[in-house]
Amino acid sequence: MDYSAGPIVACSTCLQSNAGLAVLRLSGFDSLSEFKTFFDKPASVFSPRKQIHVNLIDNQGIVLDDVLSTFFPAPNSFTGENVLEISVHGNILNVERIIDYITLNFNFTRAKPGEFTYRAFKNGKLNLSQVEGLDLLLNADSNFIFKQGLSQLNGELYIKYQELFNTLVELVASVELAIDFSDDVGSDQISSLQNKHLNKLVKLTSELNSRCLAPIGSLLEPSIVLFGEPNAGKSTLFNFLVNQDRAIVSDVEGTTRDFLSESLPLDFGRVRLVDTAGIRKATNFVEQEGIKRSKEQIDFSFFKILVLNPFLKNNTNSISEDFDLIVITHADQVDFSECFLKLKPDLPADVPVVLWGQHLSGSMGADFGGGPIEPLFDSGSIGARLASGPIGAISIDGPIEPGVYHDSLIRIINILASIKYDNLTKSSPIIVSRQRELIKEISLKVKKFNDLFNEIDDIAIISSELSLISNLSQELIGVFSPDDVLHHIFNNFCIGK
Amino acid sequence: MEFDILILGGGHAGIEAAYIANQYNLNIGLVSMPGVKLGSTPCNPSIGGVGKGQVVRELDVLGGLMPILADRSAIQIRILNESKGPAVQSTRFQVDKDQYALNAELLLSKLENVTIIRDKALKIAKSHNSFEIALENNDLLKSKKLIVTAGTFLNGKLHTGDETTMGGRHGCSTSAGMNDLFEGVKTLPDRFKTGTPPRLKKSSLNFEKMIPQESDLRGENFSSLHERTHRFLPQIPCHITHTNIGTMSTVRSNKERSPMYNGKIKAVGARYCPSLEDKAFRYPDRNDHHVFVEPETLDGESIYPNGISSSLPKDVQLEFVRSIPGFENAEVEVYGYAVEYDVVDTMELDHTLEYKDIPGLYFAGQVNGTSGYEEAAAQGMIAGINACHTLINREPFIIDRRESYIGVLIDDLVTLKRDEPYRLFTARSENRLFIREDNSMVRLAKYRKSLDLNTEIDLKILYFMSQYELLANMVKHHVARELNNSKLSEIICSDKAGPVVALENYLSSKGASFDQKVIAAVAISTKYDGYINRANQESARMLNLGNKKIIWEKVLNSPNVSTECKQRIKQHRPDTFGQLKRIEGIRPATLVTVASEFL
Repeated sequence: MDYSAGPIVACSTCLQSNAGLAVLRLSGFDSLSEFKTFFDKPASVFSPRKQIHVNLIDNQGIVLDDVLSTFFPAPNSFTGENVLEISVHGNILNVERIIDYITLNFNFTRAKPGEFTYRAFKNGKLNLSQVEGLDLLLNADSNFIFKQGLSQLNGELYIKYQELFNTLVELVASVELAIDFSDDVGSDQISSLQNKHLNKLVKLTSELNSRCLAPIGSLLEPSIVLFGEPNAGKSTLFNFLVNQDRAIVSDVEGTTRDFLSESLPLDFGRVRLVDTAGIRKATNFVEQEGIKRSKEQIDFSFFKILVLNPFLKNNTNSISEDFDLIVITHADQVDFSECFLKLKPDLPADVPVVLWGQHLSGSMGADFGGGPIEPLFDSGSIGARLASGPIGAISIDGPIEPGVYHDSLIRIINILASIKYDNLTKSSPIIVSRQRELIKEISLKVKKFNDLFNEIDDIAIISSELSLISNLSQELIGVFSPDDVLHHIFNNFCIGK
Repeated sequence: MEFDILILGGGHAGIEAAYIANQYNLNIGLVSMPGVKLGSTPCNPSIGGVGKGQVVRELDVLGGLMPILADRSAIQIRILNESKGPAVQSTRFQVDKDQYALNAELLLSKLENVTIIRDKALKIAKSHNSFEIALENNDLLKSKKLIVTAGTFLNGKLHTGDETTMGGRHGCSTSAGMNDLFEGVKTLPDRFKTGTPPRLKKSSLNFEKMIPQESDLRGENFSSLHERTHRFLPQIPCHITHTNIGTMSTVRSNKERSPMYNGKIKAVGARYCPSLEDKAFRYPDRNDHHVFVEPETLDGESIYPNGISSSLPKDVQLEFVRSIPGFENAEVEVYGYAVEYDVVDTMELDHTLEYKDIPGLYFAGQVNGTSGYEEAAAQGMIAGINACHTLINREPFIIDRRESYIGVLIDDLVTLKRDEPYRLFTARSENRLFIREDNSMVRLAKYRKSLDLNTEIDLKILYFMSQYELLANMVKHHVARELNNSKLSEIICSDKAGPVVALENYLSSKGASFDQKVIAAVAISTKYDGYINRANQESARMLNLGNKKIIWEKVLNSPNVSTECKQRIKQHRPDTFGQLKRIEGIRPATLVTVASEFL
């Protein structure tokens, strides 16, 4: 890793736009007295972890900024080195000017991405899994990832990894016992020890492994995808949900050739709402490419919505159980009920269905009141699945009207997506891919070892195989982390962290 | 008298050093205390055991004495770990202690280049290039090199209950003076302790109440000079009995009379060799412990009840002994005692066992804080060879720890600080699948060859190796046409009867005849090949890691390292992760912390 050894400086807060404050972090300097020309007060006014108010003075004696500064002496700082944090005024020009001044006059270099964390790691302030946890914490865009970051930093997951390692140590010890001390300790006692530790190991690894099985890709950056035949009304729905004219809408099939996405705030975090090109046999190359991309979006999506236009012919092709929600469009059209009833037998019983029309509103919904459609919805799939669930709780008065207007449709999506998200994250899946891969490998090896253990009576081979597993487990908590792993981790950090 | 090499101490380290040095045609003196037999076995008289059996076979290939003595005095032979696979299988000989010492005396007295001196060394000085040793009888010896194998006699102190006497073992006086002679030699701050059980009168025991363990006829002699399974003495069984609640309560109710538990003995005993007091107080829930009832000689009265070593007062010893089945009427020949002794700080030695600051001075054996006759002999061998090599300007003789347990032993001794007596365990080796009894010849042949000596063993090695290479080559390349064109190596590995039997059967079906030991070595090597390669790759990876530098001072500041581990780190001052890993008592959690935080 090409990190420098000397003092480093960077802005540790977001520098996207001018803000009220920006925090500069300086790490690795020998003593505060180095800055005696920089501050208008002597170094002696600083006491550890106390914020003080000083002026930054340049070498012409001109005040650069009026700041608050905190000194964290080594080793009790984030990096383990002497650290100074300076809260300067947040104008980008001001921040850059001060960093430039520091690098030119005080032998500092600008920190590379992740360099502060790297130093924290090198100086024993964080271990590898904690570094990964910090990464998650800082880059989390959902509560779930944030929680996992915390868990890894020093919480449940870190303890689990330690437990795994300790169990292996105990198992190794019990195998060694059988070799060197079989005369001293009875073979019954030894084999009961071995079985106890091996069972615990199998249990631990299979628990951890089951936490690696969740489709993690769809959770890291959850997306909700609108899918359907061309001209089903996906883009109209998309615009409606994001509440702006984002997608070009027309009656011409294949108008949307690429997918569009917009951020949509839901209860559990922000999701990406994706409008895809309608899937059909396209002759046009551009449209073909668009369809291909749409399919990819669907594969990686977290929540899939099928959009159906009951007025189209042959629109049942895309109906399947894989969807999380079906939205029937054009519910505001005359003849809707008739068309919908024809379509109805083809709808899967387990997928919730919402009837939606662009021009429906709360008041318009009343027009449908008591209409032929209402019972479908009420006793239909949504009702069945969520009768006592949170849909009821959001208390749309009475049965959910077929003409669900904007706000309610969002609510329904929100509730269904949240339930799915909770279910997927309830098992606290492990999301760092390095750890997932290691755990899968360990789990596989432990399974094989378990078989070997019952089959083979050559204990030297058993012990040799076991040591391969314990090496992997050491890698998991970062004992034998090769440099490229570190490189990867630290490169994924934003500057100043 | 003037010598090239003078050896102080006629125990297992001393006689091994003398025996190998004799082969170099140098002038060797062996000083042994009057009244102490050469190669005596004051603890339980057995040679070999798990890991140690390998050492004895390694000594055989290097041209050592111990294998010869063990074979000639064996009275009961066991193959340990037989059901657990050939890599961890070891041979253990119960020996007749009188015969052992007698044979030692016999063989050594016949050696042309060795002079045995029965006296006590009082004063040792160093002038220019030689050592001067004043004996009790006022003789002055001079020697270019000095190998000290003083055993437990450095400031030895004996404890039986309240009684304390000076001496390295029962009935022998101490070499108390020696400490003054070695003022410059660093000893460990904590003295070590070892203990023995009371010896029982055979005629007073009821063997009907014990389980016999017969001698295993298949057990192979340690020395390649002897016929494979020839027995020099009649074979007799050992027996097993057990302690019970009565035994343990007797010990527990006399805690304040135990020198080890009332604070009188401050020295450190080995955790792996607990006294009966240790067993009683450390495992308060357990009352059933094995007692191996081992005859010390073929015909004599003395029985060594292995497993109940104790330094309790005599009346307590008699009481707990008589609570054990078969011992109801036992009479005690000699009461158990514990001995405390000084231990040389072996970190001050190099890999040739030479004391770094005093060139020409070597230490070997229990004085270096090891336990076991085999460990002592191995050190005697290494010190002996190297003392010779410096005299004739040869390269230092160092055995790789990846190829032998002797290598593991020496490397551990000179790189690790220890706080308890060191015993060889197979777990100490990183290469256990390779360091086996069956292939000792294959592993050590090149080392013996490098000594450039020519004795009977060299011929045996030459013959064995030529046969081995022939057969190994054949197994590697041969395809059995009659067995679906399978490779012979695969046939051997997949046979349910085990590799050795499989190869034997195949060879006899072809009418080919090979030495049984050659067949075993080739077959077992074939079986382990794949595993060894994989382990080697792994250990190369670990070696990389092991060589990574750490700054131990920084580790001391880590909040994640226990105080106990910090103390050990402070003592050992490890420079690399590998050294840290080898420190005894370092917790895995510490390794994890250090590796993740400091590498």
